[in-house]
Formats: sequence, structure tokens, C-alpha cells
Amino acid sequence: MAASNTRLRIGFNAVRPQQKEKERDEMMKRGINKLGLGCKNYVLAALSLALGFAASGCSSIADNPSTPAPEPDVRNYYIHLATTNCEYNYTVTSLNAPYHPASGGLTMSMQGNTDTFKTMPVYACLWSYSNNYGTPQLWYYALCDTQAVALGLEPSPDNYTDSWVDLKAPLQKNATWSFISQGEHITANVTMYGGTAQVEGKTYDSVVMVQYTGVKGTTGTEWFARGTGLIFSHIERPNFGMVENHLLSFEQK
Amino acid sequence: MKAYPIEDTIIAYFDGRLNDSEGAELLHRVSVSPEIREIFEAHDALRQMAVRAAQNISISPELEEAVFARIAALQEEERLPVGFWTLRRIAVTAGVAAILIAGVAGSFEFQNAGANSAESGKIKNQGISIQHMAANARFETAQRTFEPAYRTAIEQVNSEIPGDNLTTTNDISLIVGDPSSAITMHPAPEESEVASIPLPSISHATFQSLRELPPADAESKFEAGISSPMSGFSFPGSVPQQGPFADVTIRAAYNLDEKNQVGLRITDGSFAGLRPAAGAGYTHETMELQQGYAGELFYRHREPVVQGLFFVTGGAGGGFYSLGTMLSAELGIEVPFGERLLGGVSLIVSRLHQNGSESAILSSSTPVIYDGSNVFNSLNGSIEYALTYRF
Repeated sequence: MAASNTRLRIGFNAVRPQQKEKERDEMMKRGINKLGLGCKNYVLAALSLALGFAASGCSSIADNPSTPAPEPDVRNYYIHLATTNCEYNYTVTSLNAPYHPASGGLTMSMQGNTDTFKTMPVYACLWSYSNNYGTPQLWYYALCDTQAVALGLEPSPDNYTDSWVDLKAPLQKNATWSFISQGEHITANVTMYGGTAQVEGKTYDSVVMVQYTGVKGTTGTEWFARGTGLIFSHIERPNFGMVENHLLSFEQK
Repeated sequence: MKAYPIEDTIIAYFDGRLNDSEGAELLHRVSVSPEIREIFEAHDALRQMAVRAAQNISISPELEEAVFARIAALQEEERLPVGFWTLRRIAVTAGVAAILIAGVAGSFEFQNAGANSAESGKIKNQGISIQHMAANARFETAQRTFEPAYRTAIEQVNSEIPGDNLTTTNDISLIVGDPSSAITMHPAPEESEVASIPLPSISHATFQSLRELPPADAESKFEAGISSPMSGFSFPGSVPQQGPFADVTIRAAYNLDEKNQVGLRITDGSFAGLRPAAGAGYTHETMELQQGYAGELFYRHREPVVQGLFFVTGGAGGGFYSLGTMLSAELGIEVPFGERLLGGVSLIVSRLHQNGSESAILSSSTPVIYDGSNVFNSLNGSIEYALTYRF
């Protein structure tokens, strides 16, 4: 039978060894790619994370770019005590305050340096109330680059009625200082530095806001504008009532 | 017994290698010679049996069901937990972990994309085409099923044609057991002394065939993403800083083409805004972080770098937030974790304009103080991590 010599080849084609190796290499590559993250992607992912962390680290530098630098000289924020005949005009509102009118105006006229107090120059300022309230009186201030202290009246030579530290260097946000006024321990805190304020229709930039708190119940807020001085004050004290001042204007006479 | 040449001629006839005159001559000899006709009919019968054997090979429904059940299971594994991104204030370490998890998820996604493509694999008489390498692994079971079918075909031939006249040139069990060697795309090479019967085969995809697949980008008309800031800065400095992952932004986009897209992004987070607080004799407008929402329309361009190894992205957008209006610009990079999943880092700068005006504040009859200047217009920048899924 002819079929006895028939040879049929049934099966798969044999794969050449070189082709087999090549295909195995490709299979390995596929195996790596199957992971979804090849080495290159791992590197890129790591770089991405590093970029983020680096940027987050830099953010502390970029943070608050407009915050002004701390002020070492408080005189830049205080009334111009050394400029003789410079006048500040304020509105006055008071409640149960023995030395202040219930309402009216106050003119503060600078008298210049008159004395020293604990090595600090002392300046006199003549207070005159409108509506013929009382008689003009000299109020005293000790002022240097590091602090500004309201000394009050001087009933006898070198004897002042108060020692209220309005400002103390360096001026910056959250700066604090303490002092004794009228026998009460007062703590001052700079709650805003570089702010903007509107007082009596006028806008002031570079404003420092200081809040005062006393152990006996004194509370108060004062705003100081750079180049101008005190623009707003609201002080409440247990035995001295409440006094509030708004700056209307200041000018050189 | 006739010599081999007539049998070779018959084989050549069935292979279609004879011209018209040679074919006519063979048929004439078949018609006049019973011996030659017997050989001719034997070859004809063998041909038909082999073809039938090939046609009878099919994948059982149970096997098919098992394969696709496995595919579905892998798809489930790919999906991240639903609550994963609903945790708004996750820690920085969790964010880093999220990126790594996304990479792993991307690997599953990449793998499943291949498995999904197996649905389009076609089982035909002349071959089984499965168009993705990942699917091939799944079809090892199918190979094991084909093996008995081949053995059955051989046994059928041997039983119908007695004698030691059929041989196999390869050990099927070895071939089936070694996927790399089970690659065949063509009928057996023609040899003058043997007949060649094309058999079903499993074809493994090559890199070329993968490249021929339509890229996901071309089909991804839509994409969705989620992002959260890692760090930020603001101008003016009085604007409060947000903590890491304080915001969550969900983004949906339509791809105009492979590089350009437009979309909508919704942000749930906190925005800095003025809030009045009554002081003793004055009003303090404080800049505080306030919970709110933002909605923006945006345009984004994605430029592939190093043949798509990663992308440089840039875009701009504008819209509203709970306190006013906003304009944004972004610049970043994106790294593909898979065919459809991308992770990225972007620097986003937003100009926020709060409703209201300084003049309105400053016209107050009572003293007003607020931190900074021009507080109604602020510039915020943030470094954001994002995950994007294209579909």
C-alpha cells in the first residue's frame, strides 16, 4: 500500500534556538512592563515626589513675602515728640474718665526734649481740649529707639504719674512686652504688623496694632502708623474709665 | 508498490503546486489506475480528517467563563477603595503612599488592559489570535485543552490508516508546557517529501502587534482626576497658609485631541477671606480660612517628552469660588503609570478676587483695621499632586 510510505508531518513548527532566545528576552521585557512601573517610571515618580518635597521646603521661604521686616526703632511709629510745634488733633470720647471730656477734641502740641528718665530723653507735649475742658496740661513721654513710654503728668520734678510702655523694639508680629502701670501688671502684644487701617476716613498703611491686657482688668488697643504715630487708641481701666482717641490730623505749625 | 514520485505528485496536487497540465495528467492517471486512485483517495481522506480535526477544536464554555471571571477579578483588584479619596485631610505620608499605591494600581491596570483585549481574541480554524501578552498567560489553560485535541486528531489518522505511517516532529507536551516555544504563525514549511497540514496554533503577541494596537490616548476622550496640594504660598503674606492636603480637587476633562483638553474642576477646601470681627470701638477685618467650594473651567495642554515617557503640562482656567472669582494657571509634569493612569505634580497659581472692595470697608464710620493691603486680591500658589484616569 502506498500509504505505508506516506509520511505526514503533524505538529507545531519547531522554533529555531536563536528565535527562541529572542522571544524569551521579549517575554522578560514584557514581564517587567507588566508591572506597570518600569525602572524609568520609578525614577520619574521619585523625581516627582522629590520635586514636590523640595518645593514644599522652599515654601517656607516664599511664605509671607510681603511681611515687613521687624522694626528696631520704635520712633518711626510714634508721635513726633522731637519735632517742636508739631500738632496732632484727635477726637476724644471717654466714659467715667476723670481727666478727659466725655467727647470733644484734643490737640497735642509737641514741646521738645525737656528731661531724661532712666537715661531716656523725656519730651513734653501740651494737651489742649476743645470746648474749654480744663486747662492745657503738659504730658510727658520718654522716647528712645528701643521703647516709647507715656509718663503722664509731672506733679513734682522727676516724679511722673504713670509708666505706660506704648511700644518696645523690635516691632514685629506677636512681639510682647510687660510693664507696671498704676500698680498693675500689663502685658502688651503686637497682634498685627504691617496692616492697613482706616480712621476718620483716612487710610494708613504699615500699621502696628498693640493690645494691652492688665491683671486687674485693664484692656486696650492702640494703633500706630509708620511715619505718623498714634492713630487710634481705646483704653479701659478699672479706676480710670474708658478713653478713646481717633486721629483727625497732624501738621507742622 | 509504486515509487514515491507519484505520491509526491499527489501531495503536490493537494498542496496546489501543480500547474493545470500536470494536474490534468495526474487526474487522468488516477482515473485509469486503481492503485494510484487508492493512494490519491488516501491522501484526500487524510486531508479532510485533518481539516475536521482543526475545525473541531474549540474552547469549552466553562473554560471561557473561567478566563473572563479571572479577568473580572483582576479588574476588581485594580480599583482603589471607594473611601480612599474621601478622606480629605490625610497626612503627608499617606499622600506619598498614595502615589506608590497608584503606581501599583497602574501596574494592575496595565495588566488588565491586556486581559481585556483578550476579549477580542479570535479563535479561528487557522489560529487563535490573542492580542495581548498578559492574556497569553491566562490562556495556558487553553493550551492544555488543545493538547488532547491534537492527540485525538493524530490518533484518528493513525486508526483510519493502519501502519506506522504517521509521525509527529515535535513533542506536543513540551511545546504546550513551554509557552515561549508555542509560537507559530504559519503552516509547516513545504518539503518535497512530506505533506504539510496546517494546524491550529496559539499566536503570542509580539511588540510589533502591541504597537499596532490603537493607543489608549487615541481612544481616551475623557479623563477624570483628583488632586490635593502639598504645599503653598500666598501674596500678600497676610493670607493664611493652608496645610498639606487641605483641599481636594476633582477634575473632569474632555480631550480635544491627544494634547489639548478642556474641562471642569471642582475644589472642596478652604479659601482665605476677610471676616469682620467687632473690637472695642473698632472693626477688625481678619483674614481667615473659610470653608468653601470653587468651580473652574480650564484648558490644559499636555506635551509628551521622551516619546511619552512623561508629559509636561500647562494650562489656565477661571471660575468662581465661594467668596468671589478666580483665575488660575498651572505648570507641571505627569508620569504615566499605565495605559490610562497618570500621576503628576503641578504648580498652580491662582489669583483670587474676593467680592467687595476696600473702599466699602474703608467707608465705615468706625475705625477699621485689617492685615495687609489690597486684601481683596490675593495670589495663591500651591504644589499639587494629582492622579488622572483616562477613559
